[in-house]
Amino acid sequence: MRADRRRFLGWLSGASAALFAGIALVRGSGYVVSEAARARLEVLAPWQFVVVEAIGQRIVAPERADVGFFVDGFARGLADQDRDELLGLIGFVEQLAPLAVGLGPRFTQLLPDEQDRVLAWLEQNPVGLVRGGFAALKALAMMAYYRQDEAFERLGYGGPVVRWSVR
Amino acid sequence: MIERGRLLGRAQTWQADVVVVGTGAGGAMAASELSRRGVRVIALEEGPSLVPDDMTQREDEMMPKLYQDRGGRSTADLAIRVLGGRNVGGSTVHNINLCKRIPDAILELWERDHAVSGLSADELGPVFESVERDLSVSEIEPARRNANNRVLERGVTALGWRGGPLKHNRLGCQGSGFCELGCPYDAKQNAAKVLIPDALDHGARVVSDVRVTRIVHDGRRARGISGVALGADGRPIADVRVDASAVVLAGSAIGSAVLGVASALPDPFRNLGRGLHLHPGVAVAGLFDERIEGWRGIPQSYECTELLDLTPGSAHRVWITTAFAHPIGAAIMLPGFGAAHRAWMLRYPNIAVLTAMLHDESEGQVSVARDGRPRIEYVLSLSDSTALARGVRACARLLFAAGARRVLVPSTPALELSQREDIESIPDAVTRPHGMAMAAVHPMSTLRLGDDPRRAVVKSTGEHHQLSGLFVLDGSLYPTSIGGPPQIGIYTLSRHLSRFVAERVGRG
Repeated sequence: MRADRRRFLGWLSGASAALFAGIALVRGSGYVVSEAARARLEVLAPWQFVVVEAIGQRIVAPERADVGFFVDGFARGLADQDRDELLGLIGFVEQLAPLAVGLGPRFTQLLPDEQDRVLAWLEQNPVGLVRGGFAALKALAMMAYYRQDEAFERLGYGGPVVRWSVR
Repeated sequence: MIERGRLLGRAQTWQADVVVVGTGAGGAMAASELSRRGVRVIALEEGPSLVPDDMTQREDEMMPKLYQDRGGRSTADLAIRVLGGRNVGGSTVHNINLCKRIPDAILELWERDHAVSGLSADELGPVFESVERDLSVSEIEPARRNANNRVLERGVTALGWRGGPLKHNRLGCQGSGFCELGCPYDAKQNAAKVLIPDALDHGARVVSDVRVTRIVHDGRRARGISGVALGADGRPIADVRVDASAVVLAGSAIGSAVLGVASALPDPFRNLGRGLHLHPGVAVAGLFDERIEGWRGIPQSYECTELLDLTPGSAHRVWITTAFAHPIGAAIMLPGFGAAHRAWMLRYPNIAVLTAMLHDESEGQVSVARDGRPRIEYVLSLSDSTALARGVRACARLLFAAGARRVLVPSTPALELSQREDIESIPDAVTRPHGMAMAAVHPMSTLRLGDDPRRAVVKSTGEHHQLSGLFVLDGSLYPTSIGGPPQIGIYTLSRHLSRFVAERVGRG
């Protein structure tokens, strides 16, 4: 009896591992990033770049910004732990957050209004850390957009009055 | 000349009478005072040394340069953003230059309830005066009040509330409005402009890009520090050790506490790092018909003290002033995302912003995270969050009284009020953790002073109760919140208490 139970648990464990590996393969493939973009990335993996772009575009919509490259550059200057947390957060939004609002596909495969539902869930989440995570992503996206001179003009904001810039 | 740690090629061991950790208001003043007394001083700063030409007035460029953790530091629960300076001059490089003395009521409270001696209003009065003279502190003239501050003044006048002009330490100000990103005109009469050069003139060594990791001690006496010089990428490049007869800890209420804990300072009554006050603030926006362009001109030149009663346990403990942000800061503060958020941003030139900062009685704790960085645990008590919610309602009242068409409370979800009758619908819960964006720029109280070693980390002289030769001269000292910006009080206490440091090394 004990041997049967052990065999059953072994089978269950193997099947679970295969299932999760399959899910990971299916949910973790199909990210299209140009070679040129891949070559520019220093911190983000290509799939993370795609996710950050998708999150960022919904946050700054209807405008657009180079959120992916901005976040990659910003993450370079972060302390190791902060960088790990940011990358973990990106994975959470892509894979788990959609499931929490009843949507099967990963974040980057959702329609824009579905993505907004996911972001709203994050923003208004009863768990403080989830809200805090959203606030961090929002801050990065806003930084990526509102650092641009074109954005200043659209706001009617004068921008810097000194002429020098490190960029 | 300021030496740059990032240029050190190999391990260094230096000798000094006093090593000062941190070059903000407390550390720079200590370096200046001590070197003037003939004390051999080495002052160390973790951040870089910036000059006016480094200040580009761009948020994305300056935030990572001027602030700890690139401006992203927060409490452990991510509910409150905690901003602190990280460069020669510390937070005085990016602050708004507000100069409010420690109120007499607070000094009396410290003496009465916290066993603080020798720091009465009478004793500190002449020291405040000398500091204000040296830092060119003066009231901002009404003619230089910008539109955002005029909104606050208008609201205060219309409601018949208590309010008035504020004092700043600035000379030759161009009114560009970029103070929190550093001043390219060198108008701030701060630690970096006034005190560090004075210390250098009197023989002090000031070294940037050196992170102090330990206070060297034998359990009874401080003997110096050990640390690392940081390269341009922030990674350690060389060990640094300073042997000294005394150590002055002036790395802010967060940094000093972390260093104290990491150094395993004697702490028999478990006071170290505890008692943290953040003086947290929230912002409320008002939409006006006229253009406010709050980013222009001198910020925070007017205050409202109607709801600021410093009596312990008071229901009214908020200080209100203006808080305009440049676009990134404003975008982060405004609630929501996408089109709804964008709609508010497009009204940016017509928005005025007020902030309510809480004279907090909640106490948090600073400890060391696994990676060696600060872990800040702080949760507002119910009475504190209720008091802060009163501040939110007061801001809304002031904005409507000043003529706002609509008022936005940037909570989650956002509260948009179209008439003053709506103000009472703002719930007390709005200021619970994560209820609305909250920021803290005035951390205090993690190495409190007082003559009772069971309740305080350092004596009223600033010297550690158990560790001879270790002094604390920054905002960590404050036994309570002071209900306002702490910088002038830090300068003053540091000047006043530096004589005890000098005495300790035989230069009294």
